[in-house]
Amino acid sequence: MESEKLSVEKSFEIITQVITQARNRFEENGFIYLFWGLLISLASIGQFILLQKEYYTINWYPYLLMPIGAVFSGYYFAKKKEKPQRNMIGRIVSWVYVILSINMMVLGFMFYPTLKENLIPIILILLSVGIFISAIAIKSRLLLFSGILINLSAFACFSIEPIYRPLLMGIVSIIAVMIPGIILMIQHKKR
Amino acid sequence: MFDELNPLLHSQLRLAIISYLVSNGAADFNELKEVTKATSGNISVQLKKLEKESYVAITKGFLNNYQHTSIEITKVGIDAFEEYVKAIKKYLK
Repeated sequence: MESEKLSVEKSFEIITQVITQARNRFEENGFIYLFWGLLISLASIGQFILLQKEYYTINWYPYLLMPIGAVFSGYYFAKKKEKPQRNMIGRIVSWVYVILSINMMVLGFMFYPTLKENLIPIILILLSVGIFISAIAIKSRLLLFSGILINLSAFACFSIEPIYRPLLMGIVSIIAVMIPGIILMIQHKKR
Repeated sequence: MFDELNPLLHSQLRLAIISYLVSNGAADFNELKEVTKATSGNISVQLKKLEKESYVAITKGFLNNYQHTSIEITKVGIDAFEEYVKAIKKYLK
């Protein structure tokens, strides 16, 4: 492979990026993954139970937890922003999540009649995008595997009966969002 | 005005170790040996110096019945490295 000659500015830019990544990795306490993993699993398993019990008209009610979660997350990140260490990559990741969350909620609450059972795979793809970006931002193999798992499960949805899709989303959010959140939290506390 | 360079980081091997750890978060002893091409004794001495200033955290344990040493960068280490890079940047301007 031909090596590229770097200018002094470019070299420092790369070093600064590496430091930023290290700092973000250090500050990641996993709480937000634990919180959303729990919330998504509660909502989707709740929906699965309601569908099993044949409460078809109110099966989406558990997803009302999502706007509450979004408000709480907004408050959590606003509080975190007060810390001087918050850097550009951290801010970009936060904004990506804000945009993804708005899109997920618009799709869920406004376009469900059009998307129906295909909503869950779309939500899972959007979630995996967020997790992939987080994985890159903090250079985390754990989150990278989580992103892959969520992404694959989105496509797996098409090969299972629609009634089981919320259950799959619940299980995936426990395995690929909540558990990594717990692991990140343990790692953060160890430091 | 030039800032004084952190003497703890202004050494080839210690800087190599810290740079690798900042980039990767953590490494085991053999990995550092492979990357730096330094001797075990030299790496041990430099790690002790870095640990003394809380730049790295060293955990000793066993992996597959073999002794395993894991080295992790700390927040103090990241801050020090960042300051070092900022200082060196001034020299090159």
